[in-house]
Amino acid sequence: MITNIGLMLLLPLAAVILMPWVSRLHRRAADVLAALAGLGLVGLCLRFIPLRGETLTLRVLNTQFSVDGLSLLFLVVVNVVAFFCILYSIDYMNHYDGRGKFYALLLLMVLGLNGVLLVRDLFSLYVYLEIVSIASYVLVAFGLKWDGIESALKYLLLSVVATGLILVGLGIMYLNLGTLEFAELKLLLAAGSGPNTVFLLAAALFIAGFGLKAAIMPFHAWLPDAHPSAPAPISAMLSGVVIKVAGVYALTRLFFDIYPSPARVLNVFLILGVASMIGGALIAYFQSDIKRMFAYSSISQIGYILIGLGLGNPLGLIGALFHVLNHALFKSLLFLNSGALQYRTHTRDMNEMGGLEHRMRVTGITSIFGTLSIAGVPPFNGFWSKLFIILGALAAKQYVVAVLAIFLSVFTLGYFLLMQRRVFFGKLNLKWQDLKEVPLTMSLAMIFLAAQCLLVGIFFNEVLRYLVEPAAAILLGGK
Amino acid sequence: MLLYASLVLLVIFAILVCFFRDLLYAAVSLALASVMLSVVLFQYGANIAAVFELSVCAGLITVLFVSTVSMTKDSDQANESRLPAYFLPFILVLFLGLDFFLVKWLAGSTLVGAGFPATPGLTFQNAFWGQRMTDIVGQVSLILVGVFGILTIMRALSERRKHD
Repeated sequence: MITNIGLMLLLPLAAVILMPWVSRLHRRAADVLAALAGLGLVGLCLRFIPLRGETLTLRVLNTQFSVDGLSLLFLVVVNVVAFFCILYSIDYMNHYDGRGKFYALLLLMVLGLNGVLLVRDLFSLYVYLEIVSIASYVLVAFGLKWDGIESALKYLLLSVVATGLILVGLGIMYLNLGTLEFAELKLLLAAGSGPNTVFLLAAALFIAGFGLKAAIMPFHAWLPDAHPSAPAPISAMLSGVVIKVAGVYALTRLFFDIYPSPARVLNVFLILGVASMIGGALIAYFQSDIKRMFAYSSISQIGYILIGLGLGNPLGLIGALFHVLNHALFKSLLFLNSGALQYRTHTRDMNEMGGLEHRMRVTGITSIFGTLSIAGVPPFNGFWSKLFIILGALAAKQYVVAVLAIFLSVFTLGYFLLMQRRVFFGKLNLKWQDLKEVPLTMSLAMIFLAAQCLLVGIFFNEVLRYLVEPAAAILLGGK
Repeated sequence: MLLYASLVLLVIFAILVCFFRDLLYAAVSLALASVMLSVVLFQYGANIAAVFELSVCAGLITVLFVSTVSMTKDSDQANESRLPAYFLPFILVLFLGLDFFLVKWLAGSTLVGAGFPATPGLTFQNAFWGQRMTDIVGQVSLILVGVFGILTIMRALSERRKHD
């Protein structure tokens, strides 16, 4: 079991190294290699689930990688979404050249994400975060179109600022404590070693740096450009997974596991969360570009996660972590839906669409699953996580936050139903008369993700027991 | 004084990198920025980081940039751009040799940073292979991301060349 931890990094690395040769063998060989690597990674991380949060550590040749409840939850999210994105890409990438390079970069992005989740040292976390970032910049510009390159540059410039802030924070920690290992930092900070104000400064730098990576308002400027310009599977990865691992996981690990008392930053999380939840939803409402609308709604949903974390009580934390999983599933689904629409109509403008439900049945039905999940309609998965966050807010006597969360959930349902009406319902635009559903692998990826949105909602108790509660136990100091 | 002058020049050269329209000038400006950074690192007593910055970033990377820029110029400019391409293997071997001796020298040296007490037995070799081994998979992956990233961005050019 312990060797599986190393394979989470070595399997994608091996696939990447083989990719240039394999992609020359046959046009479809790169698809098979990437899909097998993705499936293998899902299998490996699912094998950790029966441990229910027990910490496993791999020590070999002076390296140390660990899996605990918190990293397991995120590992499942990353690798499941990545596999469905690879499956979707098999047909979707027919519109692009350089298939082998695309898969290599996607697998390197997954490797980086797994690395961030497995390392137990802040500097190593930073190194793996850079792998994710550089792969993301190139993948956003993959189509080599003007808007993609412009968005990638914007993403790069803002991300460099984030990286700089994080690096200065790391420097401050290292200068004062002489280590960056999680366990040692935790002990030293708990013992009160070093000046407190300096660590608060480092905390502020980490919040700004990782906040930029998570696209939390007001650090969100790069996201609405970067996510729509990327190929759809990459938008799904960025919105569903990358902003959570690069931002939410890092912040959670730092302030709930390493810093001794998260109380001081809870209010900051709460304020940033409320701002993101409201701001993201309001701007999303006014978008006519479907992918831009989804991108802004991601900012709003990250707001819910931050609110859950900011509440700091068990209900809030469980809700936040459950929403990480749920948002990854329904937002990836919605981005894949938008990719399917763009694949056939070659537009992202919702005003040009209409009545597509008659021509693209699978995309239409699965997008309804995504809509109901993101709006928190029972029995879909989004309902339970939002419910826990709202109950957490009530338990913490944050009544205004609870009311806002309920109102914004209804508002989300409103603008997503509006999207449904503009895109799928109403009169069919004549120019879409001969439109067909997308190819098989794209449809399969959407169907599987839609099924998961429903199944996670129905069997939420099992998901909580095996994935979410062990992760919450780490945040609550139970492990 | 030298520290502040280096910092100012570092910022100026870094800004110039973005403003030059000729990639060759941009590469040279980047190299000068790296040299200034090396001076700053020397001033702070981070000698090993300074030597690496000077040899790898100001030296090796600049050679690679200049060669790549020369090789990707239009065919009508090919005659004047072949010289760096011919010299590239020799310069690469030279830098690899220099780096080999540098690493050999560094391997046994004790790591001391400004403001840190010397840690007995903490050599560059111990730090790299003993303490930072976890980062090696990360470093390999970073190089691969860079390679695939460049291949991805340059693929339109190579396709055009194939058609020509």
